[in-house]
Amino acid sequence: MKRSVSFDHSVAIMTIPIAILLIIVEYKTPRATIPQAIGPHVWPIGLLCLLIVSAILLFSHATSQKRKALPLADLSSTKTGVKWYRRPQMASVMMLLGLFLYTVFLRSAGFIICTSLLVIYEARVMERGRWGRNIIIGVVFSVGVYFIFVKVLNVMLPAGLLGW
Amino acid sequence: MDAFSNLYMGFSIALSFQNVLYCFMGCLIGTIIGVLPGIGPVSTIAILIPFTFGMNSTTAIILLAGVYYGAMYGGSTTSILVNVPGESASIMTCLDGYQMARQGRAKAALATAAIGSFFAGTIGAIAFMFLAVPISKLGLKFAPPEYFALMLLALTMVSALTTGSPIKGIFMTILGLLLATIGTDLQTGQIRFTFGQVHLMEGIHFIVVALGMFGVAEVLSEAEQIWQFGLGGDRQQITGRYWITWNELKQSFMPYVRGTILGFFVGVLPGAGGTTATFLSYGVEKQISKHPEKFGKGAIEGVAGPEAANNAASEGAMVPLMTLGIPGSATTAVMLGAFVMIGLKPGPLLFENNSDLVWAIIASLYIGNVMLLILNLPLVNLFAKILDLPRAVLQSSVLAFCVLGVYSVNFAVSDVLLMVLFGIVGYFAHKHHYPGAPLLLALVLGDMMEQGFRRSLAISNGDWSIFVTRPITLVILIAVVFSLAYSTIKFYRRRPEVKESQAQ
Repeated sequence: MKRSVSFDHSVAIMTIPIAILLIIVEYKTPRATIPQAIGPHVWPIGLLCLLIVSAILLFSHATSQKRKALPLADLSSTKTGVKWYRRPQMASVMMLLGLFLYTVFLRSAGFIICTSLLVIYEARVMERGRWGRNIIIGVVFSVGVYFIFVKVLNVMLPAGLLGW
Repeated sequence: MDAFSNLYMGFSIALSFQNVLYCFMGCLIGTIIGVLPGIGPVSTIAILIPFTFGMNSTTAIILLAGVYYGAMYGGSTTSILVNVPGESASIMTCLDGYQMARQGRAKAALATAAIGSFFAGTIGAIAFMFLAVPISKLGLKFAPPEYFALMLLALTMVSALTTGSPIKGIFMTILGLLLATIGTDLQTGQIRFTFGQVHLMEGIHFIVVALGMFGVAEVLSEAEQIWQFGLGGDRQQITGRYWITWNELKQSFMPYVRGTILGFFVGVLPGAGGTTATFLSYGVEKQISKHPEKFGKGAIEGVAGPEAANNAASEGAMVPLMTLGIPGSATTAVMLGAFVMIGLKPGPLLFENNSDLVWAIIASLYIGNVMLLILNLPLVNLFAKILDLPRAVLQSSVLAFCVLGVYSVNFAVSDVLLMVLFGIVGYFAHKHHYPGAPLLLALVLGDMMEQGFRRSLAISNGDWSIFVTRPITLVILIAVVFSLAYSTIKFYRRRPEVKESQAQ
C-alpha cells in the first residue's frame, strides 16, 4: 500500500507538466486550412486538460489514503536479508533486457537464432539448470515456428545469418 | 420465425468444412490458452489477427470467437486441478473446484464446469440470436451524437466498474484516448504527436498495446512469481469411475440457470465481464443456499453457478459488439479491432449488409459449444497434461509469440520496441492496480469517438447543444453521469470499512 501511494503521487506529478507541454506543442502546430466546425487540435487539447484534472484528482486521492504503520527502514534489504540481485523484480529486469536485445538483433541475426536464444535465456531466468532441455525446446520451437510461418502461412520472417 | 430462417442460413454457411475446421481450431486454441495461466484470450486473439488477413472474413471471425469462448471453458481445468485460475473469470471456481478435486471428486468438478459452460453457452447463443436483431434495428436510428454518447457510456462504465479506484480507471481511459490521437488525423491529414517519428504516422496499433500490456506484462509477472515461489503447484489427479451422478446434476441445474441469466446480462454491460459475473454468481449461490457453510469446502453449486456465469457473460459481451459496434471489455475491444482490420464494421449496418456473416457467427456459437463440451469432457486428461509442461519454457514461448504477433502486423522492429515499452507500462500498471482494459478499450474506440464528436458538431455547425437536444443522446449522457456518480459513491463508501480494518 505504501509503495502504491508514492507511485500514484509520482504518476500525478509527472503527468501534469507533460500534459501542459503537449498542450503547448499541439496549440502551436500549424493547422490545415480546411474549414471545419471543430479542428483536429480541439479533441487532443480537451483530453490533455481532462488528463490534468484526473492527475490532480489522483494526487489528492493518493494523499488521502492512509499510510501503513511500517517505517521505511523495515523495507530495506538489510533488514529483510534479500540482496537486490535476488529480488523478484530482477526477473522482470532480466526478461526485459533479453527482450530488448532480441529486438535489436532480430533483423541482423535472424528469427531462428534470436528466438532460440530468447527462449533459452528467458527459461534460464525463471528456472536454474535444465540447459539441455531448454536448448532442445528453444531450437525446435524456433525452427518449427519459422517453417510454419514462412513456408505454410507465407509470413516473411527475417532469415538473418542463416539466410534461408 | 425470421430468426430461425436466418439461423438456418447461418448453419448452412457455418457447417462448411473450412468453417467447421477453423471453429474447431479456435475452440482448441482457446481451451489450451484457458488452461495455461499467464496468457489470456486478449493476447491470443491479438497474436492471431495478422494471420487471419488472407482468410475469408466469416472464417476469421469464427476462429477468433472460438478462441474467446473456448478460453472460458479451459480456465476451469487449471482452477480445479491446480488451484490457480487459468483465466481471471475462473477465480471463483478455485474455491470449491479445487476442494472437490482434493476430495477425489475432480471428475465431478470438471464435468460440472463443462456441462455448465455448455448449458450457459447454448442459452447465451439463443438469447443473442433473439436480442441481436431488435438492438441492431434500434442502432439504425443512431446518428453520430448517439454513437459518441454510447462510446462515452461504454468507456465510463468500463473505468467505473473496474475493480479498484475509479480515478485510476478514468486516468487510464483518458490515456488510451490520447494514444489514439497519435498519428495522422483522418479528416484533415494533420500529423499529431509523432515528434518526427515516421513509424508513428499511422498511429499506435492496438495489437502492440494489447500484447505489451496483456502479454509481456503477464509474462513478467509470472516470471517474478516463479522467481519468488518456484515452479510449485500440486496438480490433482483426475480419478473416479463416473463423471457426474444424477444427484449432482440435479444439484447443479438451478445454479446453471441462475448463473446463465446473471452472466448474460452482466456480460452485456460494458466493463462488467466474466470476472464480475462469476463473483456475483458465487455470492448469489452462497446467499440462497440452504447450506452456505459448505461453500469453500467443495460445494458443487460453487462451481456450477460461476462457470455458467462466465460463459454466458462471454456470449452477452458479443451483443453490444456485434449490434452496436461497442466493445465492453479488453477482449471484445481486440475483436473489434479484428473486425476493422478484416474490413468489417460491427454495428447495425453489419446486420443489414453482411447478415450471412452475422448468422454464420451465431450458428458457429452453437457448433463451438458442442465441440467444447466434447473437448472438455472426455479429452480433459489431454489438456491436464499441458499443466505438466515446464512453466519456464512455456512463458518464454509466449513471449516469442507476442513478438511474432506484433512483428507480423507491419514487419517493423519499431513495433516490437513499442510493445516492450507498453510491456513495462503494463507491468507497473498491474503492480499498482491501474487497470489495463480501459486503456485498451479507449485506444480502440478513440478514433471513432473523435470522429463521432467532430461529425456531430459539423452537423450542428458547431452548436454544442446537439448533445442535449437529441433525446436518445441526452438519456445516454445522463446514464454516463449516473455511472460516474455511482462508482464514486460506491468507492468512497468502502473507505470507512478500509479505514476500520487498517485501524485494527
